[in-house]
Amino acid sequence: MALNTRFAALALIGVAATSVSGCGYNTIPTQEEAAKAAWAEVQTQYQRRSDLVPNLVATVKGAAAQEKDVLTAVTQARASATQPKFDASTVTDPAKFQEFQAAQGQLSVALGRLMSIQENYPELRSLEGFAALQSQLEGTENRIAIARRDYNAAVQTYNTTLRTFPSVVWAKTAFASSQPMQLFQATAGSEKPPEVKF
Amino acid sequence: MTTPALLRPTSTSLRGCGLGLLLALTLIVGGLLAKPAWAADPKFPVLTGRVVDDANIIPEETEGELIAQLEALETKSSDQLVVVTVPSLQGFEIEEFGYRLGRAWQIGQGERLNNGVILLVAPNERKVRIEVGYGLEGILTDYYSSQIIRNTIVPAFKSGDMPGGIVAGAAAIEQILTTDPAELQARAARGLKAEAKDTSGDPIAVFLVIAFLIFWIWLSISTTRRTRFRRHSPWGSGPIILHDWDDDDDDRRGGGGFGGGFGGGGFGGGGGFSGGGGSFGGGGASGSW
Repeated sequence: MALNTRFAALALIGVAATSVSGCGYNTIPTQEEAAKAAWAEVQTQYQRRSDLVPNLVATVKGAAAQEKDVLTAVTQARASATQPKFDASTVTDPAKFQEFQAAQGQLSVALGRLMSIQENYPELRSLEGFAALQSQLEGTENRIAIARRDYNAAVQTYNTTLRTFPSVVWAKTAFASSQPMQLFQATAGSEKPPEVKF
Repeated sequence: MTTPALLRPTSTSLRGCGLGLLLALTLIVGGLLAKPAWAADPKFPVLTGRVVDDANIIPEETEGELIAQLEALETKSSDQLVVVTVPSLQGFEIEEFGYRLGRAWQIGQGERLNNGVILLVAPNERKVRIEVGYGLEGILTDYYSSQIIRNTIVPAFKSGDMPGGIVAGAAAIEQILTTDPAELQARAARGLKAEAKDTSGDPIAVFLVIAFLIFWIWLSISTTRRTRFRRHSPWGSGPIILHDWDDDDDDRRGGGGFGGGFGGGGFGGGGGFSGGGGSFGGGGASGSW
C-alpha cells in the first residue's frame, strides 16, 4: 500500500510537470523576453539615429551655416529624445511611452526638415560626406520602421497571451508582475514628410 | 477505473495538458493565437533560383551568366546574393517589400550569419533596392549600397540598359563583399559550419527526450515488477505518454519557423536553390531613375 502511494505521488509529479509546461506556463516568460528583445532593437535603432545627428549637424553647418533655426531644432529634438528617463519602464508605462514616441517623432520631423534644406545648397549635396550621412540616415529610418513593426508584432502576441485562457491563469498568479506592453501608434505628423515653407 | 483517454494525444498541439475541458479550450484559444493579426505580406514571386526575373527584363543568356556568377560567390563566401525583378510592388514601398521578401525567402545562411543580399528591381515603379541581411550590414553598408545604386545601377537604367545595370550592380556588390580576404574566409568558414550544423537536431531537446525515455522505461519496469499495482495505475501504460512526448518534440521543432526546414543553402549547386534561413532588418539603400 505504501508503495502504491509512493508510485502515485511520483506519477503525479510527472503529470504535473508535463501539464505545467504544456498548459502555457512557459509561454508568458518566453513571449515577454521576445517582446523585450524587440524593444531593445527599437532602442538600438533610435540610438543609432541620434548618434548620427552630431555629424550631420556639423556637416550641414559647414555648408549652410545660416540655417540656424533648423540646426538648433534638430539638436534640441535630439536632446529631448535621448533623456535618461526613458528607461526600461517605458514599455509598460503608457504616459512615458507616449512621451517617448512624441519625442522621437519630433526628432523625425526636425531631421526631415534638415534633409530638405539640401535642395537650396548644391555645394552641400556635392559633399561626399553629406551623401554618406544621408544614406546612413535613410537606412536608419528604415531600420526604425522595421524594428517598430517587429516590436508591435511581438507585443501583440505577448499581450494576447496575458489575456487569454489558459495562460491568463498564469498571468494572474505566477507572473503577476508581467505587465502588458505598449504599442507604437502611427502618430499624426511623424509619418508624413515634413512640409517645407520658405 | 482507468482514464487513459485523457492522456492520449488527441492533437500534437495539446502536449501534456491533463484536463479534457482545458484541452478543448486551449485548442480554440491556440487556434486564434496562431494567426498573426498584423498586416499581410505582399504576394511574392516563387523563389525559382538565384535570379527571379518576374518582370522579364533579363535576356536568357545574361541570366545564365549571372546565375553562374552568383553561384560562384556563394561557394566562395557562403553569401547568398539573389537578383529579383518584379512587375509590381503591389502598393508597398520598395523598402518594405524588400525586407519582407528577404524574410519570406530566408536568403542567407541562418545560425546568426544572415549573410543574404537581394538586388530588387521594380521596372514599372522605376525603383531599385539593395536589401542587405543583418549579418552583412557592416560590410555592405548603407553608404556602399547607395553608392552602387547611384553610380553604377541608376546611370545604366537611365540609358535604358536594364540587364547591363543589373549585371554591373551585382558585380559591384560582389566586389564589396569580397574586398577583405581575411574577413571573407572567416565568414565562409562560419557559413559552412552553420550549414553542417543545420542537419543535426537541437542537442538539449535530444537529451531531454532521452532522459524522459529512461524515466518512463524505469517507471514501467518498476510497475511490471509489481503487477498488482499496474492495474491500479491511473494512466494505462507508459508508451502512451511516451508517444505524447515524442509528438511534443516534433511539434515544437516544426513550429519553430526560422531555423527549421533548411534546404541545404544551395551549396555546390545541384538543381534547386533555397534560402538558408537568413533574416533582414532593413539594411541597404534604395534609388529610383
